[in-house]
Amino acid sequence: MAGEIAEVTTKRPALRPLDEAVEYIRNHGAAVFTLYVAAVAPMTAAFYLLLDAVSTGMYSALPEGCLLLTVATVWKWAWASAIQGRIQAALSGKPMAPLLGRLSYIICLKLAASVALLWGSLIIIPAIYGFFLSGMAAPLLLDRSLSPLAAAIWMVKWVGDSMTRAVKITTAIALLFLVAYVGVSLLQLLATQMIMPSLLGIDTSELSLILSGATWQMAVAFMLFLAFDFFWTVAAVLLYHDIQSGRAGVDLGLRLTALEG
Amino acid sequence: MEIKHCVNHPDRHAIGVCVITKKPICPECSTKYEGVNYSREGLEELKRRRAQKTRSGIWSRAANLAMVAQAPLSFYLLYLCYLYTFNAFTGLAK
Repeated sequence: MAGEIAEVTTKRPALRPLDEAVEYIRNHGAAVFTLYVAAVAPMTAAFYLLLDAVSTGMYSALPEGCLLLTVATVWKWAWASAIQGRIQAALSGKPMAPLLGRLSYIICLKLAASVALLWGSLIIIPAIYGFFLSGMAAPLLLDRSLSPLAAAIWMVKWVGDSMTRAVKITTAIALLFLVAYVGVSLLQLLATQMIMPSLLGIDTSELSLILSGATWQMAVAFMLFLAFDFFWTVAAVLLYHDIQSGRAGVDLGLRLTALEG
Repeated sequence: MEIKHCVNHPDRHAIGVCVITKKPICPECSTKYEGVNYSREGLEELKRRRAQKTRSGIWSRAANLAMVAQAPLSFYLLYLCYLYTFNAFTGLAK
């Protein structure tokens, strides 16, 4: 296994799969976006129900709401795995691997990864492992007939061996998220403080109060999270194939070009 | 055609080759198992390989079971994380 991991260490630019993911979404985004909407619809509904419960002071509804959100998260993973399976099939030129047989393992692995990602974020490093394990669980388990534990070990070894690359990718995505969040906040501020009152003559004092509230900011952060989650769902498959193409000597760029053609 | 001699009995003609050790063997040294000729060493090796396979199979099954068994706990931890986040958020939203 150690030799295999050493082999897969690629010399391509660390962030290339992220660029390729942008290209992929630009060209094929519509096909996978519909599936993604189906994936996140229950999660979005559960999240906004929770926000509503918080803003109306119905705190007793939080436990049930959070349970609903947890179930909706697992639902999202199942659909996201189907999306990743489709992208993987398109990239490899092979028919999509049967998802149902591996789905329970993928969910189990994603559950473990999400614990590392969320609870481990307090000390950062486990969160990086969780981030990659969660993103690449489906491509890894659909591509190879590995047991979930073997897949987890493979991924942990890959992150360990390619920590610099993993940190670069994580930092790039986190920075992009931060920039997007600040950008949206500034845009809101610009709209409510300058454009609407000065140019359109609308009184925005009430609107400003809502927009500066924690509930609205959480809602905006969640929408941005969904956008980035969609991006990472696609990018994780491209990253996995980038790792594999380094091992198999297949040029992923050429494959993508062929797909465009 | 070259006539091979048994690796254990050089004075006897070999009737076949052990599928594991690839050495020529005479009828006395040959044991037919599952329709295939094995030498004594070959049979020992086959036994060792099968035992190893069974052991690794057991470990693999145990590992898969452990991975599936952690799922309810992880599900609960994910739920707790959401609950703590929203409980903390209620403080901010007040």
